[in-house]
Amino acid sequence: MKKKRQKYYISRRDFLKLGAVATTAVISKDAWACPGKKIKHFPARAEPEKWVYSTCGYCAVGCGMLLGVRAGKVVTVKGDPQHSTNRGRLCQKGIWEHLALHHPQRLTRPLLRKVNGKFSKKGKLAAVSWQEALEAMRQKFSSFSPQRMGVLSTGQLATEEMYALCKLVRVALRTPHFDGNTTLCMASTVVGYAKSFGSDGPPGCYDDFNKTDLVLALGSNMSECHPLIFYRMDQGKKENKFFLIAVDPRRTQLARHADMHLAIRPGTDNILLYGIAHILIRNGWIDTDFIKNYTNGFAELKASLARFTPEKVARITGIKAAIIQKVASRFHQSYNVVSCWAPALNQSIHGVANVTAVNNLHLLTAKIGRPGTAPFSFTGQCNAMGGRELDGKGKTLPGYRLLTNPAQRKEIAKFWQIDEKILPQKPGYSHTEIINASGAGEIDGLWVIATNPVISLPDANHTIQALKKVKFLVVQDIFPTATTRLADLVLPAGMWSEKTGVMTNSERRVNLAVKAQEPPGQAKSDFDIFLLIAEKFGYRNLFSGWKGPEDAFKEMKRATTARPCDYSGITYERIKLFRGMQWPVRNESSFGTPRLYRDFKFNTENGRANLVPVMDIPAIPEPVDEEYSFVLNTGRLLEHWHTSTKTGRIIPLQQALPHAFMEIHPEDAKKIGVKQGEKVKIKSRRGEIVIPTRITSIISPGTLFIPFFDPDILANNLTINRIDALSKQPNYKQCAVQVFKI
Amino acid sequence: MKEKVSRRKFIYGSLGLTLLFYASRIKSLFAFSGHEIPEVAKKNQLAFYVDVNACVGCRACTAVCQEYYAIPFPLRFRRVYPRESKSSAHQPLGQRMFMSLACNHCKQPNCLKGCPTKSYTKRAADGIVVHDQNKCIGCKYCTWTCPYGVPQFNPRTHKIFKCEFCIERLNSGKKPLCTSSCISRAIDFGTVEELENRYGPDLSRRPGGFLYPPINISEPTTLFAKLNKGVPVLLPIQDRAIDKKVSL
Repeated sequence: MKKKRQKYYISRRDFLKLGAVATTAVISKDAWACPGKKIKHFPARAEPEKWVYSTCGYCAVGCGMLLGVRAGKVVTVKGDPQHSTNRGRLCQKGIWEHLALHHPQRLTRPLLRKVNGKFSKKGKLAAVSWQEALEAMRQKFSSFSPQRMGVLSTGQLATEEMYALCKLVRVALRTPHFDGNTTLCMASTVVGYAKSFGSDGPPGCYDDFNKTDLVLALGSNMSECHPLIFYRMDQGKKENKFFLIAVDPRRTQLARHADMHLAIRPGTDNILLYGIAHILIRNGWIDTDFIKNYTNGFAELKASLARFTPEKVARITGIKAAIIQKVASRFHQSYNVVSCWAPALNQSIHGVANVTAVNNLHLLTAKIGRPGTAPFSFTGQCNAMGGRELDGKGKTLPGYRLLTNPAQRKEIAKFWQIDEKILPQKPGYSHTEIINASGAGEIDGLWVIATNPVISLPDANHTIQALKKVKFLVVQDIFPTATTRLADLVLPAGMWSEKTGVMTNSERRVNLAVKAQEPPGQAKSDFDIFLLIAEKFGYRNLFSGWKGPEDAFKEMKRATTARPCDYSGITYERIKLFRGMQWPVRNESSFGTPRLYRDFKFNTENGRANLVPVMDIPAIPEPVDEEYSFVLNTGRLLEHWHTSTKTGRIIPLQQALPHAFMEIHPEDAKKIGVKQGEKVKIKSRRGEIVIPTRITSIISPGTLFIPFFDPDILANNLTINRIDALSKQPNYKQCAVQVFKI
Repeated sequence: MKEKVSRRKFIYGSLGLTLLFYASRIKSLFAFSGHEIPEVAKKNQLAFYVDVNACVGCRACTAVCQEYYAIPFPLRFRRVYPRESKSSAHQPLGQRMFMSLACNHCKQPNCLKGCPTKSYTKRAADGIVVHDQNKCIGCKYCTWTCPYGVPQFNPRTHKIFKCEFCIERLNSGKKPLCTSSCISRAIDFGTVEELENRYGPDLSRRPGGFLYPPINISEPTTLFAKLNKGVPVLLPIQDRAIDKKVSL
């Protein structure tokens, strides 16, 4: 024992020696802590090899972007500091947009439902070659009658691709049932603009926020759904000090920033707008000269507005009559007014009524055609506008032409060098009607491109049942979705930044997104897929001379010449130079047109704008009763884009918002007896879902809000399958539901 | 005359002197000794400016920084703290507000005082508190001493990292990323003097309506706009799933 201790024994002297050395070391530590050595900071990510010009592929704000490319792959993005829309800024979705490109779940091979090597409805999806996939599609589709086929397009493609698809459907497939998911967000605005001004196209631009005196924002959650428009609006407000009125049942961030927030009863916007028009006319706050010289139908409008007294409007909308008076007098006093709205106003059975009512206010007071004043709609998808101009779906043909107009139909037939009889004489079914027809067994072949109707359409159960009845369902997408699960043939597509093409934003700015990397695996860009299908169907001559999107663009330019959406003076080079150009660009010396109707010449038959009389539509499609006592409002949140096909796979966005929730007012929560975060069952006449609660005071009592992005908690199980009679746009925003504690 | 100092006495003596030397600086001894914190004048000290009235909680500041520095999720240099007011009988609708906060680049940085390896430096030229990746040993002491939860442990490098005011961008004449990416002009930066000139008397050293540690702990330099009049009492909420880890 003693021996062992001796082994480790340190003498007093040694201990002191060691102590002294240690002390010296401590004192002189600074001496060898490398004072001269540079501090190593936490490094930023490596700079990419090159930056490629692009435009964001999410919403219709149309932010300019630069894609950072390294070794042929997009590794980062940044806002284009030279771009007038976003001036170098991006929202969260844009900042992470490149992450979706490299996701392992990307579709890379065509998939066909097969049993024993042959197509069968009962089989499982198996990888096949493009040759086999397209052969199956050709065989099936040519065996169906065109009247029993349908094509669901999208607002996510580049305009060149939409134009190619239009040619393919109108000439090769010849089915009249061709519509896009743009019907779900902006159809009412399209119809509303056309009714008032004779053609579609938002008359204003973002720059109007810097020149206006009043902004009337209707049903727009700008800071979450169009964050960079909020940026422009906020900039304008800080510099220009305009008055901001927000109309929204929720106190969104925009409503919080507003000088006046009208927490309107859901689904009564048209009544409020009619009420304001009534006050304007009653007080003589209208421009009689303008009305006399440039508009039609004032007498009818005046007569139909007589019954919208402030008291009556107050009773319906839940906004005090005195406040409605104040809004009207603000509208009158402000020389320049921007009335802006987002899809919320359109997604209602009175979508067209809402839009025309806004247009009426501007026409009555001659607040149009000047800088700083416009009825201005914020479009939903990145290229919904491009679709409106050139994809010729529904009742349209490229270049804002109408299928129902024989002269315009003839123009297109001549331009495409086809027999005019090939083009359908009257429009087929709209988006929701195609699904309804599928449910009724009227559709045998359906081709769904870059849209996810199972999640995006109202009454999801109905949609699933309908799609199951389709004999051959082709889905063309970038990721597996709820809809590809039902598909018989899946075509893997290239996404944004894997193809070149132009997109048009909310202010009619045609901007370019350039290809920066190859699609993964065997996936092909939608443009190439359309050309391959054309070849397979024997219509390659339709696209003779087309090698890439730029050839399509050149043809598009000719298709729009002398039309309201004139692309004539736009080239890819000019777009890059000017960071997008606002149509009409009549020739190559024009810089574009920021504002429409400067000369008060409208695109109607007699050149005058129409004052559209009151449309009589019941207030809410499904009023609340004792059984279903809440009004359900659905919508978007900042992190997720529509059905979350892309954003649901992007880690930081998914981490921030992993699932949907139900917003409920504290008073209502107390009545039901639910606590924060508890799951509740929500039931409507169509279906039910189980969802966690979020008790929040920003929502009006008696209403609920559920974001619709979550495929696991499908808000659209609850929504009502009713559409606006004119625009065919579904009514997402109001339906009656009941909440049950579990 | 045997006045010879024995070896032992010499060692004793030097040991005693050393102890005396440290005893005289007992305060700094407890703070791991020898941290020199320069006094930075108002005209040099760089600081962030945050306007809680303007912030819409879009979190672009957070994301753009996360992306630029390739910060592993869910860590982030800049965080957004949501709060919401309660509803009342006469005012059924409340409001939600947000505060964005990164490093405060304090006058008396607690991270610096708590660091045993002197990884932190408060730069005399501009008052930015920087962190040296070479010296850091990943002991996480600074994550405990900072009242704002600014320094974070990077599981990839096993070292601490924190917001350094985008100094490499500043050096090349660019703005810190968060300030140039804010969509509602809620974040700005400048020297304290510049900010005081730019925003005038409306500045406060504490964000009204939001929970904030006492400013005498480390004397943060971040300046806040005064809360608008009529904003009701705000309570913390969980606006997004990542807000759970908010420690402030």
